[in-house]
Amino acid sequence: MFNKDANEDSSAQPRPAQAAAGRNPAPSRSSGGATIGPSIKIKGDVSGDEDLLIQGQIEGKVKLGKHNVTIGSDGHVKADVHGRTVVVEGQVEGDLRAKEQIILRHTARVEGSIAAPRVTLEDGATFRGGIEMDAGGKDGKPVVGKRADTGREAAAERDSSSAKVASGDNKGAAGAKESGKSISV
Amino acid sequence: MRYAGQVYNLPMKLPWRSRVETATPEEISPETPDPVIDIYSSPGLEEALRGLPDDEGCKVLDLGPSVADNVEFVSSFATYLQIIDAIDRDPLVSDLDGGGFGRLSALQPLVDQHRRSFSLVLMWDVLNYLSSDQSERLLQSVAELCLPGARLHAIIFATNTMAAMPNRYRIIDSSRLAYEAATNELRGAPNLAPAAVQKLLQGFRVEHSFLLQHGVREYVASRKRWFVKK
Repeated sequence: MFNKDANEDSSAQPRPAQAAAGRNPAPSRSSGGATIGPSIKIKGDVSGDEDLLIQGQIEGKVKLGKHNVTIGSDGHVKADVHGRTVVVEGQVEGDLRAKEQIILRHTARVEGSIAAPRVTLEDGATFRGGIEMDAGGKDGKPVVGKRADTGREAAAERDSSSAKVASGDNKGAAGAKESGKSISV
Repeated sequence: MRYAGQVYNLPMKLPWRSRVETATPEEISPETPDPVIDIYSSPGLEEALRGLPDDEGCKVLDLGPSVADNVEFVSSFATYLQIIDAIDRDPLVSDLDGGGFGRLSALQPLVDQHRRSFSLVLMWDVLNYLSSDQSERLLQSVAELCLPGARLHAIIFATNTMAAMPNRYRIIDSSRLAYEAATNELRGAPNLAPAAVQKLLQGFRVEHSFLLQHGVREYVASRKRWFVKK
């Protein structure tokens, strides 16, 4: 679920916290970092030096600029969230900012603003707010897609397979030419 | 199976499913069917995009819900996209804003933050679902949010009935839109005449309208240099 880089990093050089978790695994820790469980409610700022999975509720701020933050499907966050990558599967009311990527999964409900070099929205995700599209991608322009790397291909595939092309296709244009008048009021 | 000079037409049960064999009722998923999707040409969208400034820094205001394809399309030319989702599709909360389907309370902070900064407004299937008072409030705010000369593209059903909930619109390319029906239920439509739409679009001047054969009228309007705020 976390991005591949994070997993590779952690497998190559386990951080002390993870090593400790391996020796004496605690229920509140996932393999990739810390987890805030579904029954936990936090009011205040959350910061740290490892990846975070939020399944509980947070009001305040989440600042993990160098690490990955995942708001799980049970997570409910009323906070600004800063991370290296931010993945949302649950609910967020607040601004999301990531150094690398923001992903809104199809179950996500987000109200706030988004700023990241790469933004991915999955179909079904509910988002209200602003998306900054000049948040400093490699060539100065961020990548925004439906799913990582496959946005265009998926769109083309859907066009050809699932979408029913109505008989009115191109009739629309024809209709515009035939009956649609340009009106200047 | 065919041999030279001999044709065997014996009914034969294949161990695998024939391509024309239908699924048994037990195999059909009980999930709700996929929404009906129709793709139509959109001369209005094409016209609205044509009028955008070439220089970078274009900001887009989408009054509809977030749709992944639309976000991706807009990202190819805009630096900022604001999604309002002005029509609440949840009937439990649809009356919170004074009747009708509008969710307009979030607009004023937006106006304070982004006054006169948007170059393109996408207003698809919105006005038919708002009361006249709500439409007036919405369009007042939209006019304040837009730069002079900004383009507004509106889709309004010009029929006597319309879907009970607004369709979802998906940009296929710069001249085609997919309409995704949210429901099969119908309700009465205000069937706004072009003159009534122009009256509602305070702060904008309608430059083009296109009546399409499937009962939709598309409008392309541009923001006046100045307008009187009511």
